[in-house]
Amino acid sequence: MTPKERYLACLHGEKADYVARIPILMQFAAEYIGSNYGAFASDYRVLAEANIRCAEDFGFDQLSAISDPYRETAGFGGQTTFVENGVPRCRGPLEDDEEIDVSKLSLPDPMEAKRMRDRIEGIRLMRKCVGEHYSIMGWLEGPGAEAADIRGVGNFFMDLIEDEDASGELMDLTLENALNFGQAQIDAGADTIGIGEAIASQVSAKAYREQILPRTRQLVEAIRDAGAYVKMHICGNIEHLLDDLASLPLHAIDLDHMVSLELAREKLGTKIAIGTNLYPASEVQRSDPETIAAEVRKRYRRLGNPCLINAGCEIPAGTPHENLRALCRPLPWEDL
Amino acid sequence: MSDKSKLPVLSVTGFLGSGKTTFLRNLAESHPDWHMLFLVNEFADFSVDGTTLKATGTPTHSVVGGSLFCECKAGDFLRIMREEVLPRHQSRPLDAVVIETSGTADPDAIGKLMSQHGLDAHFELRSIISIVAPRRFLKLLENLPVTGAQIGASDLVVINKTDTAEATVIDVVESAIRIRNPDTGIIRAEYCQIEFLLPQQRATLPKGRLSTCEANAFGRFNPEHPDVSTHTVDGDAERIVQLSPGIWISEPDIAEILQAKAAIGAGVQVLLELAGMTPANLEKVYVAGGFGYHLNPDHAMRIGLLPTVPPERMDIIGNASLGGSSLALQADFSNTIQQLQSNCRVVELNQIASFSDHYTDALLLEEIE
Repeated sequence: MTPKERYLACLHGEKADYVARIPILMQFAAEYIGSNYGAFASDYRVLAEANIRCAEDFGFDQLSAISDPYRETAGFGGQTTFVENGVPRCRGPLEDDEEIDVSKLSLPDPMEAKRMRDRIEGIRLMRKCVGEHYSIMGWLEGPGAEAADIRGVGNFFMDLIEDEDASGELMDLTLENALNFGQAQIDAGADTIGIGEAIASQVSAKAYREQILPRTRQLVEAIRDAGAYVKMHICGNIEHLLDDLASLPLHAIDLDHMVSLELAREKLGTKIAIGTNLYPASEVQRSDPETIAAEVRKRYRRLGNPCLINAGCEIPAGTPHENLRALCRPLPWEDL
Repeated sequence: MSDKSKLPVLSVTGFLGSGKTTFLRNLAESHPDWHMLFLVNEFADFSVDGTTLKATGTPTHSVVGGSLFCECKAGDFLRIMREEVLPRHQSRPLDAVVIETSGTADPDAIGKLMSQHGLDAHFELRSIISIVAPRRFLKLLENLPVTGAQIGASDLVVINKTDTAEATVIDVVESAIRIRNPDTGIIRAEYCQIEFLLPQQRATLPKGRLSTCEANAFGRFNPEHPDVSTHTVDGDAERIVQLSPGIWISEPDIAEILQAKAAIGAGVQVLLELAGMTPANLEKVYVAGGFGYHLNPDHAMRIGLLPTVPPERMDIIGNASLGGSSLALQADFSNTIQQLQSNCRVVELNQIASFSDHYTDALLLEEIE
């Protein structure tokens, strides 16, 4: 099987030779090819090379265009500063305002906004280099996460609580942008779109259900309609959101390390592929190869199919190479 | 048990606008002799709080562009702790690292991150302080789960900006905090003006140590115990247990506690007697009021202040009169109120013959049987 065939089989819970491996790499990948995080986030050639070389050397099945949460924020007018060894800095364009005024924002054109276009170019380059051998995952911020990036996280939480109309108007705009950005990435060659919605873990189930979920549903359905697969990624504990997430037509979901796999499988059912959620620091970076491989196997058996191998979040920079190899060590697919 | 060889880390948490930066600024300005380092966690690329705090003269580092609630964005924090804070501490020992977290920070994240990345060999999270602005607090508590988690993890909650909210609102906020964390300290403040001590400067109450002083049922300390010493007041020698320099508890202090608790304990005994019950028959013990808030139920039972019941039968309900009034305004409880009223009976303790006997008995340090 090619890596892409393996990934698609596992995504659908169908027989594969091995369980597909899709770890999230950013700073690690940049440094692996002798570059740095700043270049990885700002130059699509670094992004593409780092992904391809890591996939080949460590043996995983999907390339990714994930780099940081601020590409769309920059498209909306946020000022970005790249730093060598850290997440880019970006101040949201409405962060200093007392209230949301959506009229101050213009909907970016994904092919014109520099940082959004850079991701699209990265996907195009990766597809050109690997053909259909690997799956390629595009990336975008969910409507809530992007609204929080534009408005400032603290401000946006208060908007959600105190001014639903304004926060809804802002999320309508970020949703429209996500629809455009997702389509552009699919057109460039992404077969899967990852949605980052980190902020969701921080709000109550009620606020998520009433304000963020309906817009996320529109986004997920549109990506599916465009012919791509959808993976949801939410940092933090989302056990309180699992019932609502189960109602979305997702293909896959990443769970952070603190989420119970059993609870997630019970709530999400067997239509959604769930990632093995090893704790990136203690269970990957600071563990040892045999323990990592054993833990992956154990979690696969706890989860059953459909399952994808990864850590709960990004593989930290400085992770020993043999530990990442152990995470990606071929694990025979079982009829679980 | 804290490790004194490790550098204390204090986490100051609270939502946007609650007063975290003011708290840190006050700390720096009130204690120029403390050698601290501030670490400010912000989302944005321009560190507003960091700039404000640098003006105090206290060394300040900003962790911008990330949040400590997510491991994948914690790289800056770890790097600064390793490459900036630790070398500074090794060249000139710091008294504390004070971290101002974002309002959405997982209160347990700092301790876990330090532990998972080996920083716990040098640092120890010693205190979590939550700053709360009463006007928005209840909404935040309802909508952002992390707010409750922050309160639950705190050893001190500062209800700040009390000048901007009505007293009843502040009372409700305090009740909500107390429900989530019965053990935390709570201070009300304006402009975050509070007396604050670093963990290593605080008096540590010797939990479990008083019993090891072998105080007998009469409240007398064992003079042979190493924690017991003698202090002379107006020519009279008193046995004391030193808690920290300048702070101690003496045998006369214990005697006063015994008198107070004896009155309450004897009252409970009388009520049980009149009802023909023993503590074992009690289905529920409700402890109301501000004093009750601060009680450790287990300790209160052990000294005979409250009847001994299993922990699940003891409810610390806080400001019951306020809560009851609030409920009465929200719905029609008139039938329930009338029913409760008809079941109540006033007992004048001083007219009950057995009260003085119970009072004398209750002057001993022992449980109510």
